[in-house]
Amino acid sequence: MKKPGKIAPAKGKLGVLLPGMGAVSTTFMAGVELVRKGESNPVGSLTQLGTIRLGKRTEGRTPSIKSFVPLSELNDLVFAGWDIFNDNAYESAANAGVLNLQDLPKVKTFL
Amino acid sequence: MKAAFDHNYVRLIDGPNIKKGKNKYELALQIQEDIEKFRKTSGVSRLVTCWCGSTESFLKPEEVHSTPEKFEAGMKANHPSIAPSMLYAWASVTSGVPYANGSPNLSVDIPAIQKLAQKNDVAIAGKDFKTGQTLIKTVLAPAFKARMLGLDGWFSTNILGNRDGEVLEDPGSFKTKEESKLGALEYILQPELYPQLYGKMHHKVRINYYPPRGDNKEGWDNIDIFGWLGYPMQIKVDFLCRDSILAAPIVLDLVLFLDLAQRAGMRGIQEWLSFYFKSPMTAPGLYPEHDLFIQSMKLKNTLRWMMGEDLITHLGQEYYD
Repeated sequence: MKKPGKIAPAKGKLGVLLPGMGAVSTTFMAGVELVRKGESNPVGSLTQLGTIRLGKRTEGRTPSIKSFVPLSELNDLVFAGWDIFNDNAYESAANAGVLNLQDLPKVKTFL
Repeated sequence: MKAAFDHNYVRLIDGPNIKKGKNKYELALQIQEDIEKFRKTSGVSRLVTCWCGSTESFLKPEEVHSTPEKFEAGMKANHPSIAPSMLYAWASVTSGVPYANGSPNLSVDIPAIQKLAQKNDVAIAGKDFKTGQTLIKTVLAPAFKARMLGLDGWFSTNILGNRDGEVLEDPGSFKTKEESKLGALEYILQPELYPQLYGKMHHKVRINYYPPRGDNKEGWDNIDIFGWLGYPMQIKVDFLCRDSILAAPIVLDLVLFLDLAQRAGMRGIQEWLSFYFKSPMTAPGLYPEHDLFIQSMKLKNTLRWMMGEDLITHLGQEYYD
């Protein structure tokens, strides 16, 4: 088993390419934006909320996963996608009907 | 961006915003161009692709999927076993971009693209986001097996009204989803090792398109178990879930973890991300791990391993020396 080499730092922007801009993609993008703006919490995401125990139970070392491994920051994510419909991401999100009328307007310009 | 789409693979939807090309190879090259254009105009330093599109008609891996050369020739000849999702996977991997497959489509789960991922040092993961019913299934089934409780049957039915539900009305697309949903129990319960507990199990999965519910899926499970001396018991689960609310954080985690794997030089199938999938991809000859807590331990131990920390075995004898 090969040991992993040095991990390159998460410098610069990370582009997220999404084939299919339906309910899942738009809920994902809108959610990232709401979390970035401090309007909501990334519930269900291990990278954002999870912790990891290190060493023995007596050591009390339980850092958050995102401080333990060098992950890209949410602020560095930029999105692009493909879809068979001409709708923009906001129209697609509105059409999917997942987000409520409180959340949807907050991400309208972003989408 | 315009999609590479073929109505023959997703029969119940159609749209106007689609690419045109002489053959599938040309469409794949157009996807590659889209990727390069976005890379330049957006100024990103790295990219990750995550398939969030529809479930395509059921396909089995065959000769045309076996090597990169045969696959490329197949694209040029418009081979019917090459579905649009494979074109995205191919374009991504040949562009050096990690690829996660959120649907049960074969997509990146074919030797041709996996070999390209090895060759081009690209991390890939799949397939089919484990969101609602299967998440619960892969929590409950390991509990029964750990306690050596038997199972007569497991009936799962769903109603949902989003595009996913609409697409799954088509028998071809449903077959793809059904295969993905059925696999987990067999692998977890290992009926070949426990014939008296799981040898006669009936497992049925139904998905019904019911527009009034929109994205809010309801999944019912009726589980017929048996205990000591074969006495029967039942468990009912009614999960009123929100499909995209469960899927969105998985997309985020996969994007961030695949990018991490890529920067760590980990190429090919990322089995440690099985945690997020209904049908985890593995190296040839390995059975997938479906048990959610095995998957969780595998994921966290991989992070520890990447960072040079001790792996955690939960042995715990050292506290009693």
